[in-house]
Amino acid sequence: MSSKELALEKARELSNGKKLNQIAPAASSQTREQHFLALVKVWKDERGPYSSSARLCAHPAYQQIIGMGPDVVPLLLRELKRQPDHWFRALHILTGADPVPPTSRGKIGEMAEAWLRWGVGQGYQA
Amino acid sequence: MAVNEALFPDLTRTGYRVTSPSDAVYNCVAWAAGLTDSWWWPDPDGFDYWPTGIDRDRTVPAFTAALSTVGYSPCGDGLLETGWEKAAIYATDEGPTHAARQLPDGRWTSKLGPDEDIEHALEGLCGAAYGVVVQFLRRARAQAARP
Repeated sequence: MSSKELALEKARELSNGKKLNQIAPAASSQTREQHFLALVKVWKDERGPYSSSARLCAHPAYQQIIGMGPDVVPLLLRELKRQPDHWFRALHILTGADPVPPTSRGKIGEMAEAWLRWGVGQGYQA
Repeated sequence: MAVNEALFPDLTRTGYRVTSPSDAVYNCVAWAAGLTDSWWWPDPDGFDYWPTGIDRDRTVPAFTAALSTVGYSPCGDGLLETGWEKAAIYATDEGPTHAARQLPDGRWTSKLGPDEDIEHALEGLCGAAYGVVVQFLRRARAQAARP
């Protein structure tokens, strides 16, 4: 199993686990979006004042977003366009893509632009 | 997002004020460097910025070397010195957690991860979350990068 598959598996386990189970799993696209937005809020409220993006992204709400699977990619791109943030690990795990040039690593605005360009190329509407 | 005072029990006692809104674009190390356009961390997976040629290790020497690329060099204390801008690296047993930068009046400024910038006393951020200050650095104020 590759590291990407392991990360996705871990996220699915978390999303099926006890943590955050007060937020019901989504069925329709509308409830999926509501579920996603609720998890985004939990993540931003609870991730803490830490400077390691890996630590921020290890939060159960972030992992639960990854556990929602590739259907969440358009929502991630839209959220990235609305307010650039550390969605790059989730996007990479869910798509396998890596559109960020080495010179843009850690420059959140440039990383967001690279992913949004990638999204347009893939036919996503952010 | 309000500052989580429960994580920093000495912050209220020593006094602080919020000086910016939350912003996930830059973090404490970038702010200590004087930058607001990047997220500095030695992330082994390469998602964050780290100066080229510096080990992507969560160690005090690696953080010292990273900040040396913007003019800092190690010094002995965090006392205010005319003409010098100082930085402080906080660490726990797991390694560096945070960096702060000294203001011209001797107080300190910090970016709290993706949350706000605050002005504070150095000891105000000591505790379980960030640990203690383990390294001081300084650079000539004329060299200081400015946002």
